[in-house]
Amino acid sequence: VKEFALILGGLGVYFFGSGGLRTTLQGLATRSFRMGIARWTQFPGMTAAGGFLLGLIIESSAVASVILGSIVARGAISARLAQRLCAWANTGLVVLVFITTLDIATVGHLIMGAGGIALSFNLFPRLRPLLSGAFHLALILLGLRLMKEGLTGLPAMAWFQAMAAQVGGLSITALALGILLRIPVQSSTAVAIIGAILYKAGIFNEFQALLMLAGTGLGTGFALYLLTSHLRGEPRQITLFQGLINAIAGGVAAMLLAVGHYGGWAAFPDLLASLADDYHLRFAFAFLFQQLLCVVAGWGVGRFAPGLMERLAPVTLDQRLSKPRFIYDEAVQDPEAALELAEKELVRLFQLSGSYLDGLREDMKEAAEVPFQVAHTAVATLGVEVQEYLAAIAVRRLEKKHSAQVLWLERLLGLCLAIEEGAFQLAGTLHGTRPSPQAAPVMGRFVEAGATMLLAAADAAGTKDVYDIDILRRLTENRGDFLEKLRTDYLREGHDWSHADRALLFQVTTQFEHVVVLLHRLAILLESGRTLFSQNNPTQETP
Amino acid sequence: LSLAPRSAKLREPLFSMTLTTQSLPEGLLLTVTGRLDAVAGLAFEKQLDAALGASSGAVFLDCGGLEYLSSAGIRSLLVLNRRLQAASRPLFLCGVASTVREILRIAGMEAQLQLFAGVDEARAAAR
Repeated sequence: VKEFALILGGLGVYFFGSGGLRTTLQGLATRSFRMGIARWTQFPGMTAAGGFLLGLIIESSAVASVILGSIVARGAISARLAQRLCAWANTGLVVLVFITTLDIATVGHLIMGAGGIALSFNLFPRLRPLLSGAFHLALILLGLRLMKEGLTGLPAMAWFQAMAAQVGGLSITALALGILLRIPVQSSTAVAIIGAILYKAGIFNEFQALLMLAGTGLGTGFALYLLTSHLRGEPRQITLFQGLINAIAGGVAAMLLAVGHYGGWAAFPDLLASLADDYHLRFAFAFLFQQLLCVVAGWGVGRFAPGLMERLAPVTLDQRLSKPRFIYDEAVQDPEAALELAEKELVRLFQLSGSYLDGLREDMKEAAEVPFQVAHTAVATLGVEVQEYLAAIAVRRLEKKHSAQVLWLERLLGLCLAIEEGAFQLAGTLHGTRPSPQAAPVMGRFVEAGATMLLAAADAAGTKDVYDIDILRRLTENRGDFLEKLRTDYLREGHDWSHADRALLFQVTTQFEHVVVLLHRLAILLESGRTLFSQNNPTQETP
Repeated sequence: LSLAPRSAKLREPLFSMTLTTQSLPEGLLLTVTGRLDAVAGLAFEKQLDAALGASSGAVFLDCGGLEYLSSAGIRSLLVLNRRLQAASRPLFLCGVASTVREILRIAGMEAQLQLFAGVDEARAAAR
């Protein structure tokens, strides 16, 4: 019981520590971190360093690939560069394994004590992320020590000897354990460390423990394939690539070990033996070797990977639409250019929202290229991108005119998203309900009228022209009473309308009115923006 | 119409609109028939270029034969109205069918355009 409690306790402390360390480090993976990675890695030769740093900070090849996938999806870096970064991110995981080879139990206790007290009493709040990271690292070391103590006692027990005799002698068991453990444990580093402990405890011989380590590569492949199946398009492509190269690296490492063990060509084990006498350090080097194999595999499959990945996870329509066409991170350095780009991206949002009713229009029913639900998803993603982009501009030291423009664009974005939501609701109602033949023509009129107004809004936002803005303002001015009268008239005339038709009319007219009110606010905002921008730059004045 | 279709799906509506022109003492009479929709709107604007360039005075757009007016078609009307306003030339929309008129009303366009029951009424107003 004592040994079991130690192993279980050690596992718990280890998982808690690694979870906390990951959360702390991932807190560093903010937009500025992503921007830094994207910018930094554009320089030749920096890909390896960028990938290593990413792996070191994220401490998970899977999470690193998900983050890179999201960066690719927003168009900040190419898929090819993301694949290279992904491959190099594997090498960053090795650092923790090397740290655990150091005998720093006393230092670990001191760190844990100091960190825990400081965190509990909220001392040095500015150093909280650092203290939290150090505290959780110390917990990892404690957890490993507890597991080691528990596992060391196991081989002396009769039941364990009987069980080990049954399964322990099979090398395939070690490989399978590496694969299977990697899926729930979610960390190749952890499995590598557990493998070293199992060897030390005498449960596996060195060959088997190293096979278990190789199994983590294959396990990463399976884990990424299964756990990121909810992703689509480019993010899925990047995670599949990561899974593929890890599986290849694990497979190659397992083959090299097997050839050495069964075939007598022991180049790999000999290499490890020549690097370190200490078993723990040998495992760390084996892990490093395997992670470097990932880089080699990434380079090897890099040429045909894009085609294969595109076949396995084709880029979806909403991903294509939600990729920014104008904004890019580097432009933030120049606020004037960045604001202009943000405005152009915003116009795209208006244009996408303006297409929501296309699928219902008589002339576009078959030709509507983007289903409104897909466009809605794309607008939501793109809206967040523009919002973050504006926030990134806002935190810079700006001239007064640029600050005013940022505020104006933030208001425009808010209004744009409100109009988009309104248009989405209206399109959803009209798509989701089939009116009777008597009521259908009336609904058709609302479709055409709504589409007209959304088109007018997209035009006004795109041109900021006096005429376009004025038209939008006039189309949307004082419409409440008119729409109320219209609703009453339709209900009076529609004697043969069913209850569902009447309910639909209420819903459609209410949603239509909501959109109209928002469009009117847009016209007023565009007018004010026109003044604001023309004051700052008289050349933008439209004659 | 000589404009090539944008896609096979849109080919059918392309040939469903005709625009004829006739000079009047007050200006230019444009008679549009068929369906003024997304694709026809492009052809409509293209044909207007030639017709408006070679004329002066008021423009009477006879919509009596217009079976269907989509939002894209309304946009084309807005473009036309804008161009004419810039040239200080009034636009009169004549014989707009009740269903089309209803769409214009809901879209708030009715107040922005001068609508008449027929060409004669519009010509009388123009004089």
